[in-house]
Amino acid sequence: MGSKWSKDDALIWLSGGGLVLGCLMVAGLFLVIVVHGLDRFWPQDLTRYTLHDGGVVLGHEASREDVLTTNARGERSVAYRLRIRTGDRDRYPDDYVWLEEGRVTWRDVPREAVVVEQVRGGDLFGFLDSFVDDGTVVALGYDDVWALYQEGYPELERLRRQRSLSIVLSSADGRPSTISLADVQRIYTPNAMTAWTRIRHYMASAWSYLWAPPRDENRQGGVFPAVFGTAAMVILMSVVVMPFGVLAAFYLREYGKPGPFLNAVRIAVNSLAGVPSIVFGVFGLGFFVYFVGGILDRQFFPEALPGPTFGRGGILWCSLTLALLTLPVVIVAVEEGLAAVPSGLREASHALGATRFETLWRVVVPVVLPSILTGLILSVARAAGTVAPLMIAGVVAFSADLPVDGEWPFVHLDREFMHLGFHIFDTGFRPGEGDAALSMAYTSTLLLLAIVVALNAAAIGLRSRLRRHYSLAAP
Amino acid sequence: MTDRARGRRIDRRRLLDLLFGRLAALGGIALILTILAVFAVILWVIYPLFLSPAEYRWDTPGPDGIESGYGILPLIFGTLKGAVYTLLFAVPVSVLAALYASQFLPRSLKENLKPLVEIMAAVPSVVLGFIGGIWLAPFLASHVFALFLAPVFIAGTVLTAFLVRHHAPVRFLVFNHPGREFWLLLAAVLAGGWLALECGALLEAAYLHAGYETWLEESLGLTYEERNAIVVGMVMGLAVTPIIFTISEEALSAVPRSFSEGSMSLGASRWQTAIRIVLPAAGAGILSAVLLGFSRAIGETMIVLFVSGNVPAMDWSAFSGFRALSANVALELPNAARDDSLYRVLFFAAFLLLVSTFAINIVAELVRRRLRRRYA
Repeated sequence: MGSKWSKDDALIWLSGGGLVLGCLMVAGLFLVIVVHGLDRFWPQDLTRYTLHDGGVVLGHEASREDVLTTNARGERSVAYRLRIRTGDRDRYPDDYVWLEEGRVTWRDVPREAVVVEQVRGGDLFGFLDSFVDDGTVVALGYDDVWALYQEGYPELERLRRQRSLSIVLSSADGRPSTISLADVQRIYTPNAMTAWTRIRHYMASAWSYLWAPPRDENRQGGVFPAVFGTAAMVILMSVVVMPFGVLAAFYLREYGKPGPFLNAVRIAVNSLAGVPSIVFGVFGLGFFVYFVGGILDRQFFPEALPGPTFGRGGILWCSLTLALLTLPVVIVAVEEGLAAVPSGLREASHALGATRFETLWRVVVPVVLPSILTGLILSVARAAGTVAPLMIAGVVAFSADLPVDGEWPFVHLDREFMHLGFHIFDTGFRPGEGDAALSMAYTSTLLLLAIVVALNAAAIGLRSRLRRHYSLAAP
Repeated sequence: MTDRARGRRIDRRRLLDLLFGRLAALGGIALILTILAVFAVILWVIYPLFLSPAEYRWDTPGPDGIESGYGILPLIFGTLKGAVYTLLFAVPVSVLAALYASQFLPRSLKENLKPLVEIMAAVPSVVLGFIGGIWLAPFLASHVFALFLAPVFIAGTVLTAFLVRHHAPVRFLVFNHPGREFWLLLAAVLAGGWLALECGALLEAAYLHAGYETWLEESLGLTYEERNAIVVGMVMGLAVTPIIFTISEEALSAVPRSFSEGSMSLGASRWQTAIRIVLPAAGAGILSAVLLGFSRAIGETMIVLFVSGNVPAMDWSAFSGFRALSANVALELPNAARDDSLYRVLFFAAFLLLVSTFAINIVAELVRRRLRRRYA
């Protein structure tokens, strides 16, 4: 028996390998996202690379890779090259530069190197040279300028509007550049930071990422408008999808009489669940935006024609499109809940003389409330992660206006809006631009994944609680 | 209370019941109308294409309307290519995993697996696409050998782990505890992957002086594009795996226990039972799972957009990219003017996606129903 059984078990193990491989790939995916997404805010040391042709580059190492080189005599050797983020987009439009390691003769970490975050444009790396107030130099050298900046040159915030305060920054190889203080978001000295200040810096950066508007074509700054836009759209969508979905589920499980019509409704739900998301986008564009939007424009906004008001992509059309997309999610979740309600409950209620509606409203709905909530959460998670249809129906990479603000009528359903998922697409998919926006995209990916996973975990928790409730209640 | 008052009260209750019933039915009607509207709107936009043969050319002009661009055929081809490579990757992994989970995994672990799979299914496709295009594609481009070594090496380490456990002295049999073998498997797969990476790098350094790209070019005539069908297969495979896994696992678990008990009592081993009895019995369910995965892969947009390279090429090479219908719609529709011929052709592309996924889903559903009827 021995050998045959062992060969057999070996094959079982191999099939187990498939399962483990799948789990590992998911774990790897999450790991990559977490690692790359979290390291954006950590203040990295700035290294000064002195090259043997006299050049100097200041920046931090992004990656190091080996290059196989063959010399004139055909001997092969491995050399390494470094990819340095330079914070000098004037000279290196890509923000990055490749350095062969052999060319570097000396590297050091100068304490006084600073990072200047600009309001527009990317980060600048360099050394503080002087502090200029209306044309007169008021401080010279790193220590004085830094001290002045830190203590807030008499009421910096107020002054920066009235007078032309500026800072002269010299790059690694000594070229000076003048930056108006009005354009400076923040200055910090990563190399002089202690662990504790680094952590505080990290927290502050992460906080401002969540609450600040984007800068520099989404490469810098925060994602607040994207998160806000996603939330607004999702809320609008829930308002539409929840009543519709719950009603449809009630029809399917409680009211519908078995027959061709019920079958047709069920087929409709199944086919709706199978429609690719992009097709919903196409439908949203053709129906909501151009057809319904066109009618609304002609009826209610004729003064704006031919300029479209609702006849172009906007948050209302996006949320309606996603409402169709998430409808099956809600229906399935509520149906599952309805199926779990013991039929004895319903029968008892009927036996006491209640009508179907009374039974539903007083007995069944309170019991399936957690399922309805599960459906809501799952549909919200689905909508937060869906991007393809929105690209067609009115999401934009950058919008200065929020869909809800203090301006009459406060809720602007016709506005284009920003979406977290589309923000990832916008920052992560820029053929020809290089990697300047990638770290932003990683962080937004982490944020979106965290939101979606948290929502799904909540739904799973709710459902298992519900299930346990009934397995305990059953005799 | 008089009889009249009671009657009115009852009437109101009945009326409410009736009204709500009608309202719910209206919800059902609205559902049917929705799916019909999706078809109707798209057909409404595309029917002029069929009326004027001049506009119906199976190709899309570029956004500027001057260049003739590429036809819609390469896009159909691209969509199919992506879906096929996805299945090549997803079917073995998910069906093996489902077989293991349904037949051999202890129940407690199986319960833990379910939420994991659910979370995996919930990962937004833009996240998968982004990681696939930005992280995985460059990573694989620099570890091509490891990619091909990995299946062999992982199988090797898994078998080694098995032999070690099987022949280990009794005091090491902590691993024999049901469920613990999972951790040993995990270690084995990790080790296999790591070995493949290392050996791949060694092989490449030792044999391919000019790098694998030149080698591929010279010896096989293939060009390696960073964003290619293999990467699409892996990433979209990850998106499709939860679907195929869940449905096949369901189908496998639904096979009556009497089948496997009968088989084992006749002397068949666990593996023989799983492969010869349970798997064929659940065949229809697995087929429908694969079909559903196929239809999901056809409609998937963000992943192909990020990972496929979006070049309208027509070859089956695993190392070249493609442009899919869905990605094409997403890229070009925002710039298409309303009622332009490009606009209509893109709607036609969406129509193709809609009809094909619809048809595949119906077939899958029919197959599944047949299975259910058989074991009901």
